[in-house]
Amino acid sequence: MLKIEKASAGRWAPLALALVGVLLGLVALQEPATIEGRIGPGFMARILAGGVIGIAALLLLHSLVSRSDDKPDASIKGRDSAVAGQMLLGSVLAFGLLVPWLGLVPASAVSAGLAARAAGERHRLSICGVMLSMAALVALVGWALLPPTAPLWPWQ
Amino acid sequence: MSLADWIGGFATALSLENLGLCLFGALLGTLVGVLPGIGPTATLALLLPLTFVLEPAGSLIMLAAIYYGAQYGGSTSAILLNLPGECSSVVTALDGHRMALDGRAGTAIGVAALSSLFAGLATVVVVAAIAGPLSKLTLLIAPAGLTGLVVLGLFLAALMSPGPLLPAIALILVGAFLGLVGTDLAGGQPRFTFGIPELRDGIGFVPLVMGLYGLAELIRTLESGTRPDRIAVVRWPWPRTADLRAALGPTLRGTAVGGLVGLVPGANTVLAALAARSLERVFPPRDRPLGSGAVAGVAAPEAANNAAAQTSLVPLLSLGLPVSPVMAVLAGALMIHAITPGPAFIAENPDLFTALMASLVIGNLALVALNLPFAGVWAALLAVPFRRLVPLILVLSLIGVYSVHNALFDVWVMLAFGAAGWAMSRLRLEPTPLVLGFVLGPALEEYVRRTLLFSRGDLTVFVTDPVSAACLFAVAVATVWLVLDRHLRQRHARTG
Repeated sequence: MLKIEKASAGRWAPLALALVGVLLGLVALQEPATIEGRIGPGFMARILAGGVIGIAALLLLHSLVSRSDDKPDASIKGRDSAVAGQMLLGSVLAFGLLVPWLGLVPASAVSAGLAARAAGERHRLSICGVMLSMAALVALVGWALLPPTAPLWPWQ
Repeated sequence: MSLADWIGGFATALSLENLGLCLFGALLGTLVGVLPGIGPTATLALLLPLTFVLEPAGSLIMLAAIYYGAQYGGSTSAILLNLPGECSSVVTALDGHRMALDGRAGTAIGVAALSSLFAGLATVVVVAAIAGPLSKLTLLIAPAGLTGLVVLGLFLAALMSPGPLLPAIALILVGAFLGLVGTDLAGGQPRFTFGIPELRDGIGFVPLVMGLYGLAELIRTLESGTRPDRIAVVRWPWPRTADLRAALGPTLRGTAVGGLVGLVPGANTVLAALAARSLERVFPPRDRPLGSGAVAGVAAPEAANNAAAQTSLVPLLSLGLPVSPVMAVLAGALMIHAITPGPAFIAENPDLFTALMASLVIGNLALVALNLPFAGVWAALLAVPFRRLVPLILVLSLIGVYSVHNALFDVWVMLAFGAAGWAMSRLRLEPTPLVLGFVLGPALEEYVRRTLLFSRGDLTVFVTDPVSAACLFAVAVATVWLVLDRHLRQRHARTG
């Protein structure tokens, strides 16, 4: 038997979808919908963007009518938890910034250390252990599976 | 083909060299499937030069083993870490990871392996027995019919996605739009790339999935603190009799669905897995509802994707039609040995065909023999404190993403989608529909374009084509059903 999930998603999600839809619509307008009577590169994009806007409008209307005031998920527990997400994003940023200078292996080690800290690891020895083990893993994967031109080390 | 041909095929497949190549391919394929970023297509392409020094049978056996081995491996990372290694594993992750969080990772991996084995063995019979006649039938499906199939696939993706329906449809449309970024195939010009050269090939599937599933999920889990630091594994890590009984029906149905979908040129394993899981919503699961760790949610898509992976050999071998990048590489391997896949392939190379079929049987058995005993070992990974798993997941994701093009751009894409995925989770929006729309959207545009080209702009072709009409009718009926059902429920709730 087919079942339906409840349709309400508050106002924030429809607003976000509407914003995304408008952005997509603006992007879609950069390309022509038709070229000499045939489908152009912007044809499908405009239909898709219009669909997103339409659905977002429906959801927004529904949320206004049903007076739903769902707020964004606020289940972050404590300051440490909020910082964890930022540190994790920061670890990816660090990886991207360090690879050109240090190579994949050291950059992965630094990223792993930041990720371990974000995950709640406190002991320096544990963090060092994580960094070394991840460096070893990346070195092995790089040697076995990546092409020889992959910059594993700073001197490559 | 006679019994002697089949015996000869098995003898060829069981030769020391070919057996070794089959096992090597299966192992490498599993590893490739587990590690995100290093997909089977790239692996096959990298190993293509090796086929110069191998016999045609050995080349085909090894490359095919890598392909279906990757289907097995992709489900392992999807179940354990919610990191789909392959496109089709996105569907498996919905219930598989839920099972892992309940301490039943071994059961999930075992069910996935056994369902894949059954589907693999069953479809060998299909491929061998009815390759020729069945593949001719699929040629009758016009571009309009393929459009209808993709529309149906997108609708099914919205239906089976967790969360509310309308936001899921919106996200599918967003995902389909993101799939359009890159080079317009019709005109050959870059589209929506904003002058960024790396975007000419489009947004990469791997960084998108790693960002939305890997990174965003990690952030959400760390911020909410809902996941226990260690997940205790139940004492018996393999499927019990009750689990096998619950998996039987879904496996049979998934095999049938995947086997049929794989025959259709243009359909892929994602569509097969989606269709199989959607079909399971009609049949009440024996253990739990779909989406909450049901065995059916793992068995059906796994059977379907392995069945589709193998039956997609049919259009290649009998019609010379590679229906996916992987099949194109396999076709290349054959042409290296001056063998042209096509209508005469089976008649002119019966020994090669039977050897390949035999290797499918051997390879599938070998994969289960490798995966099933290690199910408990893989599941034990979850007993590792989560704070130690986080760096492992992150580093695997980063290396996987970087390895696709050896470019940092993909890492930035992963970061952007990681942030977007985190925002989506705060807004209670699921990432699955976006990913599925991203995979199927470009195919939809291509088939719409082709349809309107052949019909010279006549839109009625979508109604007059039987396959397209059937698919659109199914979508319309399901939509009406959903609206009526909701209306009746609300009325029932109001009247008490």
